[in-house]
Amino acid sequence: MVSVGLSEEQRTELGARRTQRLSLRRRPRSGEAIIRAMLLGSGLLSIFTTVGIVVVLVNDALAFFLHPGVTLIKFFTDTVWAPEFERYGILPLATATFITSLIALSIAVPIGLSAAIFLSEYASPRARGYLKPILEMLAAIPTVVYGYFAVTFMTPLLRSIFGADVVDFYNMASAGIVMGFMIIPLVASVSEDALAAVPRALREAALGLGATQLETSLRVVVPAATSGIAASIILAISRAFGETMIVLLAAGAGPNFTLNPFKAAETITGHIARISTGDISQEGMDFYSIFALGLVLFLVTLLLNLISRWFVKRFREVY
Amino acid sequence: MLSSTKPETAEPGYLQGDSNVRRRQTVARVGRGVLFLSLVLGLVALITLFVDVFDKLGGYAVYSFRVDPLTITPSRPLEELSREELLALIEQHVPEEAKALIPEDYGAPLEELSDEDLVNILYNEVPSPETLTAKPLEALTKEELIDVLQRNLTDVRFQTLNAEQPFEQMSREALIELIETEVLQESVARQWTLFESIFNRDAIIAEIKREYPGSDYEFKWWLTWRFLTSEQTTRPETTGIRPALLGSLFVVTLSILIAVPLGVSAGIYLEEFAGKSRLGAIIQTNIYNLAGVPSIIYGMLGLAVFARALRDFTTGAAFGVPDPPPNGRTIITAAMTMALLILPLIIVNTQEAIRAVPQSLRDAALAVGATKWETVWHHVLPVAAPGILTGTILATARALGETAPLIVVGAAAFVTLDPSGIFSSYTVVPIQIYTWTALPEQIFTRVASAAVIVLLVTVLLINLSAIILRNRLRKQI
Amino acid sequence: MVEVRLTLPSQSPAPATDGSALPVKMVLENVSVYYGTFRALADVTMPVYENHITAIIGPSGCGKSTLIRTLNRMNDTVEGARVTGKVLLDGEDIYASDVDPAIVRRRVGMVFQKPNPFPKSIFENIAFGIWLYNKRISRSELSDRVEMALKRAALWDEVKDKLKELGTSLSGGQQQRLCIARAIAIEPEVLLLDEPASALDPISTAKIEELMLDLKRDYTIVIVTHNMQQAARISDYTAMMMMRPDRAGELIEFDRTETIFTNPKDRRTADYVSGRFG
Repeated sequence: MVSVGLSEEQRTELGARRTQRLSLRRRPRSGEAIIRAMLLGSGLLSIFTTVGIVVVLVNDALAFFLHPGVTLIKFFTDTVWAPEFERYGILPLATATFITSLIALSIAVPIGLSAAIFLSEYASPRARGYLKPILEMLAAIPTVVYGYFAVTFMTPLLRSIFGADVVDFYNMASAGIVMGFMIIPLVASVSEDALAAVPRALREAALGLGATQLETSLRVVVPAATSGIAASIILAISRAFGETMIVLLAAGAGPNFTLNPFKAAETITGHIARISTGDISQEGMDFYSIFALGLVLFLVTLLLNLISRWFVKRFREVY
Repeated sequence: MLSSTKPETAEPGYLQGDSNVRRRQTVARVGRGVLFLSLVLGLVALITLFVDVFDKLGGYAVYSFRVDPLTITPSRPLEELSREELLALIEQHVPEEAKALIPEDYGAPLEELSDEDLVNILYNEVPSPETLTAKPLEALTKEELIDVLQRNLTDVRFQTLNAEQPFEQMSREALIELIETEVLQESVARQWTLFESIFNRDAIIAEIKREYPGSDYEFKWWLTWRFLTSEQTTRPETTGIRPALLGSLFVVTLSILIAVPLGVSAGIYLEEFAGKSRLGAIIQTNIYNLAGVPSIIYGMLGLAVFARALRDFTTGAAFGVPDPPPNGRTIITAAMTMALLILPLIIVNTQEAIRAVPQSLRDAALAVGATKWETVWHHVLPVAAPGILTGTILATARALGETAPLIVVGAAAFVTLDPSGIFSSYTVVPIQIYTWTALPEQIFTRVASAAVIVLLVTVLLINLSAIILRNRLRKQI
Repeated sequence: MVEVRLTLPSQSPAPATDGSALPVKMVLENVSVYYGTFRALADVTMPVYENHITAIIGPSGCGKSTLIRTLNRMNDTVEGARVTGKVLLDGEDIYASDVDPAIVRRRVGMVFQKPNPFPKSIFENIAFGIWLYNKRISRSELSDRVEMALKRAALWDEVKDKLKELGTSLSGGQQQRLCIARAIAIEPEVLLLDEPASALDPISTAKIEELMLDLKRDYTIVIVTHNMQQAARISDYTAMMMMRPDRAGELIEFDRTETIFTNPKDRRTADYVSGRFG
C-alpha cells in the first residue's frame, strides 16, 4: 500500500495554519455556562416540587390542627370522621385504607411473586417474550377503568356469590380484589429484578446436587432475593395506600369504621377525592382537613418508599 | 431447565428414584403448574375485563318516550268530531263502569244524548281527551312538524337547531326523528347486554313484545361516531364525549410540552454534569421519592399552588382574559399539575437512555476538542433520543389515564362547551368515566363502557407503540 | 518551537540525547495521577521530542494508558481523577487553572484502542471536528479538508465513493484509519495513539504502522503498545513502565529505542524486552 502523503504545497499550508496556534487559555464559552445553568435549574425544579408538597401540606394541615377542638390524639384515635359534628378521627378512613390494602396485597403478592418466579426461573426467553406483555398490559390499564370494573363486574359477582344481603352495593372487598390485580405487575417486576440478580452459580450449585427446579427456586433463589422481594412488597403496600380511583368508585362514599370487608367504607384517598369534587370553598375546615389527611398519607408512603429503597440497596450490596 | 420427567418403566434403581425422589418430582411438577397458574390468572383477569366492557357496549334496547307524542301533536277539538266518531271514541276509551252509569248521570242512554253531552262525557271520563284525536306524528305535514318543534322547544334551542340544519330542508322523516329526540326524549327503558342479545335473541324479542307492546326497539351500539362527536348532555342516549376528548387532548399535550424539556434537561444534568456531587445525589434521591408519591398528592399540590395561590395567572385574569372559571380550575392548572406528576418518570427514563450511551462515544468527541455540552448535544443526545422518545410515549399514556389529581385540582364533572383555550374549564375522559360510572342510573354504565373502550384502546395503543420502539432499539444494540 | 534543556532530578532516567539538543514538544514533570485515594501513576518525568515517535511499553496494568491520557487531559473524564505535577506543551502547563481542556485536546489529538467512529456518515465523522472550530466554513472547503485528512490516513481511495455511508459500516482496520483521519483532520500538533492496532489483524496493523512512520514528518507521535516488536519497528524513543508494589505505575527507563532493546540499563527492562515476562 502506498501511503498518500501531502504535497509540499499542502504541507506548507498545514504549517502555516498551525502557526496561528490556538492559545491554551480559556475562551469565553458563555453559551455553555448558560446552558449548564438551565440544566441545573431543571434539576432543582424537582426539589422545589418536594418542598412545595411539604410546605403546602404542612401549611394547611397546620391550620387544621390548630383549630380549637382538634387534637393530635383525637385525630388518631377517634373512630368517627364527621366534619359537620366537629369530629375528626382518622380511624375510620385509616382502617378502610388498611383493609382494602390488605385484601389487595393478599392477591397481588402471591400471584405477583409466583409470576416473577415463573418468569425468572422457568420461562424460556421466547416464552417470556409473550408472557411479560400480559403483565405490562395489566400495568398500563388506567385505574379508573379498574374502578369501573370493580363496580360493574366484581361487586355483582360478589353479591351473587355471597348474597346481596351480605355484600353491600359499595364494599371494600370488591375494591380490594380489583386493586390486587392492579398491583400484580408492580410486585412481579420488582421481584423479578431481585430474582435475576441472584448469581447463576447458586442455582447451578443446587441443581448440581440433584434438587428439582422447584426446590432450587423456592429454597435457594427466593431466599437469596429476600430483600428485593421485601422491597417489592413494601412498594406494593405504598401503592395500595395511595390508590384513589378504585376505592372512590367501589368502596364507598362515607367514612365508616368497620372491619367487615363486605361493607361500604371510605379510605383516606377516597375521602380526599370526594370532598374535592364538591363545591368546597378554598378556606375552611373542610378544605384544611383534607390537607391533614394528605400529610398523613404523604408521610406514610414516603416512609414506606424509603424503607423499600433501603431493602433494594441491601440486596444490591450483597451481590 | 432441568427436566423433571424420568422414565417410569425401568426398575427403580439409584437413578430412577426411590419414592422420595418420585414424590419430589411430582411436587416439582405441581409447583411449576401453580406458578404458571399465576400468569394464567393474570390473563384471565385481563380477558374478563375486556369481555365485560365489550358486553356492555351494545345490545337490544327498547325505547319509551318520556313525553307522550300524542300530547304535543295537533288534535282536532272534540267539538268538531262527527257523532259517529264521538260514539266510537266513547266506546273505545270510556271505562265499562262509567259507560254503565251514563244513563243515570246524563239522563238518557248514550244513543239519545246530544253531541254536546257526548263531548262532555269524553271530557269527564277520559284523562287526556286531546290525545284521543291527536294525529300521530307520522300523519303530520312538514309545516305541522316544524310547528310542533317551535311550540315545544325553547327559543334558543329552536334557533340553534335551525341554524345547524334548517328545518325547511329536512325531510319529514328527519324532522320526526328530531322531534323524537329533542321533544319526546326518547329513552331506553331496558337494555340487554351484548352476549344476551346475541344468544338469547328470540327470547328477548318475545319479551319486548310482551312487556312493551308497540314500543320501538333496536340493537343499539353505545360507542358510535355520534357519541364521539357530541357534547355532553344529561341524558344517556344523547350524551357524547367530545368535550372530554378535547379536554384530554389539550391537557395531555400541554403537560407533555411542559414536562419533556424540563425532564430531559434535568436528566442530562444528572447524568452528564452532576457526577457524584452532593447536589446531584440530593436531586437524584428526591426524584426517586417523588416517583413514589401517590398521584392524589400532586393534585393537592396543584390545588394549593396553581389553583389557589397563582389563581390570577392560571385563570388568565392577570392577562385580562374575561370570565375566568372560579377557583382556578383551568386547563393550564391541570397541565402544570400533570407535568409535575410525570416529570420524575421522564427524568429517570432520560437518565437510563443516556446511561446506555457508551463512554467510547463521548471519549471520541472529547478527543477532537469538543466541550462537554458539545459532546452531549451532538453525540450523546442523538444516540439517546429513541430511548427518550419511548419514555415520553409512556409518560403520555400515563397522563391520559390519570384521574385522581385532576379530580382534586378541579376538572368539572359537567361541561357543555368544548374547551376554548388554556384558560377555560375542562373535563377529561377518565373523569367522564368516573362521573358516569358513579351515577345512580344503571344505564349510564353503558355510556361509561363506551368511554372506557375509547380510553383503553388509546392507552394500550400508545403503550404498544412504545414497547415496539423499545424492542427495536434493543435489537439494534 | 521551544527548546528545553532538561535538568532532571538524579533518580529519574536521563534521556540520552545525540549531544545536540533535540526540540522538545512536551515535557512531563513529576506527574502523578490519583483515582480517589488510589495512586495510579507515580512521579513520572520524561520528554516527548518533536516529530519523533515515542513508544510507551510495559506489562499490563503498569499505567501506560493512564500516562498517555495525561498528555491530553483525558483523565479528566474519569470521576475523581486528580493529576499532580506539570505537563508542558511548548513550555505551557496544560493543567494550569486557566487552561481550557478542550483546546488542549485540539492540539493533542488521540486515537483509542478500540475504534470508535461516530454513528454518523464517514464524511460527518471527519467534518465534525473541523466544523466545531470553524462554524462558518464553506461546504467546498470542508470537503477539501475531509478529503485531505482521508488521504493522509491512507483511506481516501477505499471510501471516496461511499462518504455518505455510516462510519460503523467499515471493517475494523478501516474504522481505525477513519479515527486516525478524524484525529488529524483537526490539525493537532501531537498525536497520541493508545494501542491503536491491538484490536486489528496483522495486515491492518502493518498499514497503520506505515501510516505512523509517514505522519511522523508532520506530527509528534506518542504510542502505547504492548507489542514490543511494534515498538522496536517504528519508534525512535521508548519509555519503559513498571508497576510498583503499591500498584502505582512508574517510569523505570527512558532512552533511544535501539538502546532500550539492545542495551538497556535497567535489569527489569532487559527482562521485559527479552520476553522473560510480560
